[in-house]
Amino acid sequence: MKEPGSDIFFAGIGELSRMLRAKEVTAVELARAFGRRLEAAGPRFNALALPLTERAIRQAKAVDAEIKRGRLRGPLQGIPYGAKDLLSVAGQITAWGARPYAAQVFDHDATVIQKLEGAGAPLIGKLAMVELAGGPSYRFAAASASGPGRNPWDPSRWSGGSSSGCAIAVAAGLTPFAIGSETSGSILTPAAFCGVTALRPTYGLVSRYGAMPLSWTLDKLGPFCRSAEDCGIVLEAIAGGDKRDPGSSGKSFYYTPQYARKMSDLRIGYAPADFKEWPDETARGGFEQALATVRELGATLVETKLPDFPYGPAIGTIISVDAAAVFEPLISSGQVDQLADQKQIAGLKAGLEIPAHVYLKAMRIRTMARQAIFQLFGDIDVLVTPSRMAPAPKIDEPLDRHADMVRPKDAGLTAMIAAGNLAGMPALSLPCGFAGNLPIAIQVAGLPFSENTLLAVGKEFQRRTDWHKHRPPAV
Amino acid sequence: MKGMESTVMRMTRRQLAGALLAGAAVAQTQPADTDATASAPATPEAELQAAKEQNRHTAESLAKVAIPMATEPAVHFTA
Repeated sequence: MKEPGSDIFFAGIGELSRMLRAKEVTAVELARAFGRRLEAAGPRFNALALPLTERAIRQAKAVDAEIKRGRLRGPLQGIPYGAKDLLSVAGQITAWGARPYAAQVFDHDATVIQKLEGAGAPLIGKLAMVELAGGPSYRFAAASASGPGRNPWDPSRWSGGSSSGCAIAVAAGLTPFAIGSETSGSILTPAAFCGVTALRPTYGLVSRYGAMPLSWTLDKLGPFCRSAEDCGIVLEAIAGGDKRDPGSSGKSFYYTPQYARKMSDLRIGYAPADFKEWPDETARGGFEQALATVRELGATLVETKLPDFPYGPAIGTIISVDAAAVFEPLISSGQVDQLADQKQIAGLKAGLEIPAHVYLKAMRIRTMARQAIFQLFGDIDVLVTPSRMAPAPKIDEPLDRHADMVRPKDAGLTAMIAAGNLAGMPALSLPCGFAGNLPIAIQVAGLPFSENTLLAVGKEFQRRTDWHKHRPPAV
Repeated sequence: MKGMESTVMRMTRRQLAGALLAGAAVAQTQPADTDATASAPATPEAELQAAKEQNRHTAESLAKVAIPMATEPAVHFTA
């Protein structure tokens, strides 16, 4: 059995697919190579929840037989991947990153797992996550049964969460792509910290059936990849209506870069303060350069800012109440105290006491905010802002400290993570440089179901830059 | 959590930016106008009290928004 070279671990889906079809490598070889690499290196970064290499090899054998017969399914056929441990896989442990669920086993596959199996993609492992996808809140990176997610660019730094294992695994070349989830920031944050490309799809575009619920009107599943193009390929495979998901939009997604609008036809909204005033000093140069690259795309840049709403308190209230309702049995049984993070435990308990009128107020503000945000898009097509204003924090640094220093007056688009999630908007995170030795990223956000436009901007940005191709030194 | 902690730390811009837009869940529950810094509560009881206080602050932030009576919550039900 030949051993694939190290470059293969950082190849994109298109290249791996070409190699499979050219019979330069087999699906079994890929599944074995990536699976073993994930098993070997995953624990170093606390990225692996459950190895599934042998299962993947069995899947891959069937894929190889299909390819041999000339039955070609599509670009994901034979491409290994990892899934956040909040997605159920029949007969396998699905622990949601939390000690109380360490032995939990479901008898069904999540819809995205089924869809990827149908596309011929072998699942090589369940990937680590912040316990209960972060619940209402958490204080430390160590809020996970797997331990703190360590950043492949600097293991003394956090990977970001809650889809920590997904970002680590793709950044470190442990899997070509991964499926994570976002309720409010759990895709964009780890993608930015680990320097990978990731897409938070429109709410309802990807079925959540078989995924741990955290907040019914906010949860989304999306891909972590090496490029915007790969995100488009994976999204096409996992999107689509599903009657088992009450939030499903019933819409499919077809990745159509050939029909993408010209960059010169686009109006891109941005806030200068996001790039000049808010970022950490070490990141500011990278963000200003990224904005200059966006400007070079040929689109019209339009200064804008978000309508004034309490986005953080609104989404915090909704998540707190939903999470407390979802995990009420855990709370009332006392098992909640087995969680790793004291702030999460307290947040879940306190969420049970938030009055209904406060929750409904948050949901009514959400209605108003959504309308106001969508009105912005009368003048623009997409918004661009830093995914995160600073690179990854130290792994033992409390995540909830607040400052007494004066903040920039112009809030710009700094609330974009909360606002975008409240409005159900898609967003694409693109690596755009480094702050010291740590990656930084911008996000491109748009109206619901505008994924093809976001991916077109991302693809063009990545045609002009190579930040998404950099490899971490720690691997 | 303003008003709950006695310790106030000076922060760098990096820490400020990190705190404001940090981890998803973190950003979710902090009022935008919180100014004080926090050290972790010492006991589970104090932590729970802090969480309740945080929820109270959050509710106060929401209460400042004037909502037209006709505005329905962003929940969806179809018969």
